[in-house]
Amino acid sequence: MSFIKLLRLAHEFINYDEEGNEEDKVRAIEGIDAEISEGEFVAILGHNGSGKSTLAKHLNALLFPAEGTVWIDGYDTKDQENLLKIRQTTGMVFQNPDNQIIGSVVEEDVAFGLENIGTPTQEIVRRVSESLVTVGMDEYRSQSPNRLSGGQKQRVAIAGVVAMKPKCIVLDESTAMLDPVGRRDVMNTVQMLNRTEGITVILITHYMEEAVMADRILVMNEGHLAMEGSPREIFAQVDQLKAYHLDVPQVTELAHELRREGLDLPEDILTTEEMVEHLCRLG
Amino acid sequence: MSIRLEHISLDYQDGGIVRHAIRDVSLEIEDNTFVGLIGHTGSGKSSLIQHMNGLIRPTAGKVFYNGEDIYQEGYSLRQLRNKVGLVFQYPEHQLFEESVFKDVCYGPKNQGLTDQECQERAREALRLVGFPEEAYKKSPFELSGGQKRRAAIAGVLAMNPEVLILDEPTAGLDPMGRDEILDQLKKLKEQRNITIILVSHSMEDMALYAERLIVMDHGRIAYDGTPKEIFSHYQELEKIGLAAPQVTYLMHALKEKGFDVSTDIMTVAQAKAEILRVFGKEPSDQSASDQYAQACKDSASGTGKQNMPDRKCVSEDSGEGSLC
Repeated sequence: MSFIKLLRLAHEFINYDEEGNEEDKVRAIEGIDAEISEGEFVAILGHNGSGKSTLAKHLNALLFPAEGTVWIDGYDTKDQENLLKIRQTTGMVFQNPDNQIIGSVVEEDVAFGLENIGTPTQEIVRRVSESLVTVGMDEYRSQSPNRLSGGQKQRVAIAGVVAMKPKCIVLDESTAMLDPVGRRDVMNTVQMLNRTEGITVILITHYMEEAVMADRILVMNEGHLAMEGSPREIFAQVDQLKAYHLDVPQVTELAHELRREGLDLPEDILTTEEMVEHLCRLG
Repeated sequence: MSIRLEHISLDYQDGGIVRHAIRDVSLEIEDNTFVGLIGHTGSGKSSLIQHMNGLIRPTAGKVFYNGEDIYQEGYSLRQLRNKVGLVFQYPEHQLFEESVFKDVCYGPKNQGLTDQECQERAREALRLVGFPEEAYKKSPFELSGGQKRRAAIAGVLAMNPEVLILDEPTAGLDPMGRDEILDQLKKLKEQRNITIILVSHSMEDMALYAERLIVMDHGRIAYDGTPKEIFSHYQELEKIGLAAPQVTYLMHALKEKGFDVSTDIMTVAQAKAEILRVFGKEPSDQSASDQYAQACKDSASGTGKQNMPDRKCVSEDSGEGSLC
């Protein structure tokens, strides 16, 4: 079995009236079949309300399927006995850095998860140091998190997750509130964790330039899985993506526009470098 | 008619140390302009905008609205806040009424308007932000992210402000929701003559919408000018946590490869026109054609080089640049 496997996954949100009677049910996601291999970097795109975050919460057993099954590293999320194991396998980083930092000193914040699972002190010290070095925040270890920039706070949050040695990290719009350099630093850290530490990365984002870095992209639309493929395959379908309220990187859109004017460029240009290379060939 | 800040500074105490959030900033924002405010996290953007409607009082310096000192005796800050509307980050967290319509009525109601006037204002504001009429009675909690954001902006618009300041109104929205909100803001400026001051981390959006860009760095104004002028400093921008739009980098890379392209390009439409010009092709549709004419004009009046298509690609150093 794959590292993560979703089989006909559906999730329902139930609304209750003032007396606590069930009023109606909303299917946030439905009929999701997907597999993710260990070490893969997968981006999930989709409009607001398409079910991305709901899907992400199933990967950490924060939500349980109304129908279908989710297996994380072979463990079924419906089975209560597996919860601890699953939550140690998958770590989550959320959108707002200020909502997920609780320590008054950086290293204390990173140690929080380890203390909760009763890790011996020596081991905590070692792992906190290692993870702060990994995300490039070592020099701030004894500072207050309040003074850090948004990007730095997110890297501290990531360090807190990395310290738990998860096999998989889910980032739910973790760059949405950051400035360009903060975004770049977080994405560099995420790519490094994926490539050198072999951690599986699932990245939910509205920034198309970030999705370009993934091995594979899943596109959600109205609770369903609408598209699946490599960034090249997905972003070549400019018109289809726009119909799903999404976008493509600026250079991809530019290539699409120039093609329409008769320039002989491929549809699947994703980066500035590729664009320069192809224009040089035409030149 | 304008907002004018004169030598304002903002200091605060932090564990016995004095920190400076704003350092001697002077600036004037004229009526009916679309101003972008950018800067790294902690650069002072949010502090700065809160000075503009008297939510934060500067440690030193003066704030004027339409020529009047807002801290002079007898000046009504309450009136000022009706004229200068501020939409905070994630404004949908502040929706609280049981229906969208009621929520939007809340502001005008506090201004002392009659029920009928409030309803008219709310209807008008919701129409202006493009909120669907069939959803007026819905609870704010039933809405999508984009709809919530619109409802929250309508709540401020219903107070009939002359200036609308928005702190990252598109953060967390999908690309279509983002474009829709920004288009609506542009329309508000054009049709209602409302001054828009927009804080954003998206350089691409700023390139498309802002007429003037103010760049903050460590509590100071680092740059102030048209987006074109600002993004020409792309290397300096990176040093202060910012960047230029992706196509600007593309044009610089093309120039380095020997293409005779202009580098003050910020949008996909401009890049398209400029590349077509260099390849000696005329675009097919009208709007692209206008951009194209502009590109040719800029090029002719520009760097002293002729506007002859230069298709030769010069490889700069023998080893690496052998793409071409």
